[in-house]
Amino acid sequence: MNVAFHMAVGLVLLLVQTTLLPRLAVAPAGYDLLVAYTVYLGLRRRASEGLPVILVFGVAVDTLSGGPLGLFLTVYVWLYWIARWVIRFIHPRNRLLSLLAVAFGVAFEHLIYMATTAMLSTGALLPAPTLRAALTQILLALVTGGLLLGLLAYMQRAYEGWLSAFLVREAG
Amino acid sequence: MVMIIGVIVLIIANVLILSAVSQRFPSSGPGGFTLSLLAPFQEAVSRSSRFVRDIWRHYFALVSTSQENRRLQGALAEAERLRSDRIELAQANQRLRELLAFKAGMAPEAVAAEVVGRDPSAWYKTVVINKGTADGLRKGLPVMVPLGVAGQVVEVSEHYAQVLLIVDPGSAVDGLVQRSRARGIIRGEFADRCRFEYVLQKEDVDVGDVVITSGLDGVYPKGIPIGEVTEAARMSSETFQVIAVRPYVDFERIEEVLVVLAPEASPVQEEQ
Repeated sequence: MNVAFHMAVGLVLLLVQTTLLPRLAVAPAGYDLLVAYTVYLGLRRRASEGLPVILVFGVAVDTLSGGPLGLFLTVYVWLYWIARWVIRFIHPRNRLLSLLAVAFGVAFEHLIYMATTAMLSTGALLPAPTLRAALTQILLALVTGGLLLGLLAYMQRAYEGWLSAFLVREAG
Repeated sequence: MVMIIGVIVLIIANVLILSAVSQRFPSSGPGGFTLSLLAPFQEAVSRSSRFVRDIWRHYFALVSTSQENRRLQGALAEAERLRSDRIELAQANQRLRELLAFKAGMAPEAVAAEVVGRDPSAWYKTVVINKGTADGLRKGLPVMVPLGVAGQVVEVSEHYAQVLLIVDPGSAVDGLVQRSRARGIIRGEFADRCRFEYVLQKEDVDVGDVVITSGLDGVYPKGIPIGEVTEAARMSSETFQVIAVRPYVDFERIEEVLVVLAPEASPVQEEQ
């Protein structure tokens, strides 16, 4: 049930990212919401819940994007692994970690883009507007990342509360 | 410490493998399946957001005016809503007429489609349209708007297709300067602009020149406008000129496109 919930949340985030955000004037500042979700799943949820979601949405975003096939899967899997590794040393609800984690994820994603682009040798330059947009996304993630993680945790609690009540009602 | 270095090395190796083995758009695989799974949701959300946007523009914005003249304002709002609706319809009509006129001016058959989704990444430029194999689309078909070339179909499912826009860094269009007939390749950049590559130093290219399709790439029909030269520089150390082109199409705003149904795909296109 939890995996289904995470799949639904991931789908909503993906739809917001590919249909609603591009219509807004602030679109270039909008970072990859699935990076935030990957970080959330890595920090706060069990691997049995998080991994299938990461793999499915990694493939889904890869096929929807014009980037090299496997790029997003690479980003999400490594980011997930890093998040799992970090919580061996730092408490997942540590405030500083919550504030910085999404921004780190967005920066990591841009770094992988740039590395892949450089190695693919498409010859295309990384123009200043794109680098500025990347920096803006990282800053925005720094400001909103903690809030987004809090919102996702709140949704999870609300869902679990609803599910428990539903199961009790069905049993009774 | 050793572990961190090990992970960094693994990530670099992963990126290297990704770069080495990656195919942007394989001829088979999960692409079409994922597209047919996700695109209906994208279409539903796109249509809903357009509907809400129209409601917001045409009605709620007016209702929030003066309390004193509420009744009159209500009537005015209704009238304004109807008028705005008419303007919106007229504009849509105009756009579609332009598409039709453009379509009529083109020799090959074409299919009009709506943009229902965009690339999840800011680095790459693709869109999802609501026409697929059921409408005659296939990989490699050129996609146009009345202002010029938009891109090429790179993935297709039964009712949806993915279009690689010409501003994507992986896109290449054989182009021609309309005035001097200088030939080169139009490549996308990460911003919404293009480079005109492989134009020899001896060729005559100036700022303001119009670049059109040459028709030699076997994808785009000849003579379709691509954009305007905004920079042209000759570096003494280089074989080719450094030329920047601003496309005529505003890729952030395209909502409808035309997919040109070429008579038959060449074997090369089929392989793509």
